[in-house]
Amino acid sequence: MSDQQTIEVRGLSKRYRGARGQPDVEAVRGIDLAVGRGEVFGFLGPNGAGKTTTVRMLCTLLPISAGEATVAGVDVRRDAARVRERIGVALQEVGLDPTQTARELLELQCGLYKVPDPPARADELLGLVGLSDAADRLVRAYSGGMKRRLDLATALVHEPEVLFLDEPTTGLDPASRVTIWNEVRRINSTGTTVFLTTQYLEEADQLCERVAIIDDGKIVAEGTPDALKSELGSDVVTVGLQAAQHEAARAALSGVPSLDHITDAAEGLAVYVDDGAAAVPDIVRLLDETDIRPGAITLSRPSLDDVFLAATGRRIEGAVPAEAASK
Amino acid sequence: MNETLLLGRRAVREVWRIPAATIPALFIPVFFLVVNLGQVNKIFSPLHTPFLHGQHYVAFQIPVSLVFAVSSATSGLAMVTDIDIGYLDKLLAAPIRRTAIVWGRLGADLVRGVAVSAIVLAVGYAFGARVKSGATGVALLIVLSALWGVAYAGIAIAIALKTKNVQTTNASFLIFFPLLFLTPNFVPMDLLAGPLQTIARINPVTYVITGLRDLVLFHDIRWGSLGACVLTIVVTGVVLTWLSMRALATFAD
Repeated sequence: MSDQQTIEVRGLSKRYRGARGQPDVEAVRGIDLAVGRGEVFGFLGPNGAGKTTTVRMLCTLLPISAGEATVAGVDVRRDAARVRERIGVALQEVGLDPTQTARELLELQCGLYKVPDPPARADELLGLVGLSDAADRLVRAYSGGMKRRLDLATALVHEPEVLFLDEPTTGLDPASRVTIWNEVRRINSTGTTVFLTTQYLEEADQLCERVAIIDDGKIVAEGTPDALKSELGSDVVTVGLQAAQHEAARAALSGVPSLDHITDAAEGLAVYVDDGAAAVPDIVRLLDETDIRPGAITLSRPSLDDVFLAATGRRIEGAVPAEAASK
Repeated sequence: MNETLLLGRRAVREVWRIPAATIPALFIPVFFLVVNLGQVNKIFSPLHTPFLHGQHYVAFQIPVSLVFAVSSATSGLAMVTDIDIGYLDKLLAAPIRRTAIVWGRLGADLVRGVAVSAIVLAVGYAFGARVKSGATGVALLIVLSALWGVAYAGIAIAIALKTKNVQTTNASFLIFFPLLFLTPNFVPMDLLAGPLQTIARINPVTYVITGLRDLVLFHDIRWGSLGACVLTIVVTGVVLTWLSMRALATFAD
């Protein structure tokens, strides 16, 4: 493993035995990954793509079927116990015992990780995640956002080298989501490498220095969000249209100068052009000439969803685009 | 603090904060005790029933109630909950001996077993049962009953880890019904019908009940029955705890 890489994965695969009479399922198919020290790395993909399976293998919770993985310099297959000492884990399912208070859970977690002075460390973490006032309340009375913050705190008791976060904001309201994002930034600023899975495109855009996009168990794109989007090379002009207008509009817009390609979008059509600002007047004119009255016309840069579309030919099912996530 | 003690303390807090998980396990044996006494107390009078050794029938029945009360699926059900809420994953991702997860649960079973046994004994005392072997006998009754609860808990934990299912885990409690009733629980062994006597002789629960019963009925400690009781508890505990440890070791496979 290179000194600069905290996580290195080669040919990682996971095969689940099929149910009676069913074929085996290959959830992860020989992926390669390299995550640099101190990086926030995003692992992006639709539900069922293999994100959680990959994280569970790297966290030693799931046996690896084939391939190699090192985390914090330790071989995951050969020395799982040492990997566990170096990582913090907050999985998709918030793993908190509802019959305990936040303070009790944190002190217990400190004890399990042999952290000196558990009460002091628990106090410090409760303050950091803004739960000091609710520290002695049973977790069952917590809101979803509070549980997420506490779960994050339990993963940090031993100041891990690598923090795995599996969909840390799924199901949270926008305000709680932003709180978690800020907390992830703060954790990363202390030097902790963060490996984050998400299906929220804006989350990856906001937090991650680099992302890998996984689909059907394979990595389909990898790089910085900007580089991946720049590879598409186009601006996107989204034209609001009725479904019945699509065909005629598509024909009319084929005459737009510097057109790259046109795809269907939720609101109408997405027109990919080299220079969006210059293309908008042409788009309006061409639609007007064919008597099509468009709804809203918006100009944007390609999103990670567009990157996914380019790599796989379809949108991330269930993904929340940037605009929706930030509302 | 040792990781087993930490996890045991957490499990004890859980037991304390969810009394609904313990009360039914306590209520059912006490209910059976009261109903059984109501039905047969007049048949088995202390004066004319030699196997009671001068005690009321409740003294003969109290060991059955003790064993019944501590043989619960509570730890297995708590393990299923830990799996469901993702807390077991958090423990499995921690740098601890995985066996500590099971030992912690069993530690809570020991504490619960002591409390439940003391309550059942108190109920028996209220109905007229007296422990003839005195304070030593009372202490042995409580500790051995609690240890039997710990030994038996392994089966529910193993089922929970293998099936991750509440209903199936609860079945470990149902398995105990035939084990409990295919014993000399109402009358001594020599009064059982032939086939039932044969089954009772190979049923380990027989030796637990008989050992506990002798502590209640006799002044002197009967080392033979006590030894068989302890040996049964140890062997059952080793086998079932090993099964639960193995189920945890292969949990993710």
